[in-house]
Amino acid sequence: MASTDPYVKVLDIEQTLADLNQTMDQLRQERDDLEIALTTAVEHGDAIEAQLEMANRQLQKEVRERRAIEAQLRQLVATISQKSRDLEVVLQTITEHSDQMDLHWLDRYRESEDIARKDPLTGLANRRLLDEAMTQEWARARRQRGWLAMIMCDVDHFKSFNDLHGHQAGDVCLRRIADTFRQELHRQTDLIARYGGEEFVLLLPDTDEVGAQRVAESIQKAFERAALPHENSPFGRITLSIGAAAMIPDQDDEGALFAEVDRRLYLAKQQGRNLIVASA
Amino acid sequence: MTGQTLTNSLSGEGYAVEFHPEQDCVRMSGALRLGGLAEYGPISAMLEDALNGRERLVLDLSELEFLNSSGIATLSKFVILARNHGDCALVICGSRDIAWQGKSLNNLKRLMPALELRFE
Repeated sequence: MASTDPYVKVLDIEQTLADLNQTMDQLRQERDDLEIALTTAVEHGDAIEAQLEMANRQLQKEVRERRAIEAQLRQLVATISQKSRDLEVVLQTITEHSDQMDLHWLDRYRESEDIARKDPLTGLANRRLLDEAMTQEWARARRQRGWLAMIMCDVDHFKSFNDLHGHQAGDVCLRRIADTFRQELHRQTDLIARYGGEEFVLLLPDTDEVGAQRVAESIQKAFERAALPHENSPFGRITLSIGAAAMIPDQDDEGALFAEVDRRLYLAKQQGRNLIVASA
Repeated sequence: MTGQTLTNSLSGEGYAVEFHPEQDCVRMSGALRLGGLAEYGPISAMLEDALNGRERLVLDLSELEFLNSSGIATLSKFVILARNHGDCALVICGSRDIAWQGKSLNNLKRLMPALELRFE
């Protein structure tokens, strides 16, 4: 119930004012606190934002640096890979090139070997190849206790053929003589050699005296069939004097067979030419 | 190197290398068998010189009968240089009659796919 006493009323008003003042103070304090809190929050936010910005910048810088390093590494890898591929191709190129060059030199070597062992005019074996083959076949026949035959042929009156027709015609004739020999010998192991100017030697492995004589006769018949004209010869055509012999080697000196066929060839010439001497 | 005559021409026993600027062409002929990459140095320098400032260069090997391993290594290096150079179209002329050229020149094309090979 409200008081009707005026003093009491004044006291109430003062009390109310005091309460209001207190409330205002509290509100001011709260406002100040809120301002401080707000300022603190704003400043903190700014600080965090700045920190994040800095961190972000740092991160972006690192990302850029890492990307640059990655690009450099990629470039380096690409360069090294290219160099590696280049080196592989260069290595293969050089290797294959060297192989080609080896073949080139090997061909040249074989050509030289071939030239060194062939008579350039007739394409038959030359004396060097005959000597090598003779040594080899003599040793083989001696080892196997087998026969080795040799036939030595001299073109009759060939000097007068050259005198009459000239050396060019003589060369043509020698080529035709060589062809006639080739047509008569068929075994791969047989060797036909041009031994001298118009002398030819046939080396026949695994052939006895009878076999050698048979081959000599077939050669003589082949020249008869070929009938290569020779106006300065008493026979009117190219003929051969032939010495043939065969041995079973029992010594190191293969010269014995050479000497024997040479002796028989001499006898064939002595006895009138166009003859075969095939026995002692 | 056994001998040298003109700036645009190198020669020695059995070989000649000639640079014809007006024809954009370097010609090699004979049998090149110099001893090692160092002896091929002057030829490398001539080739590099021919490449610089040129849009097209013809390397004529159609009369180069023989080339040793150091020579093909020099040519390989030159083709890589031309490829990396990028500004000059390179044409190599060879001969089918010379056995080594078939394989070796085709290998050079593997180093530089843009390389143009011509065989007589």
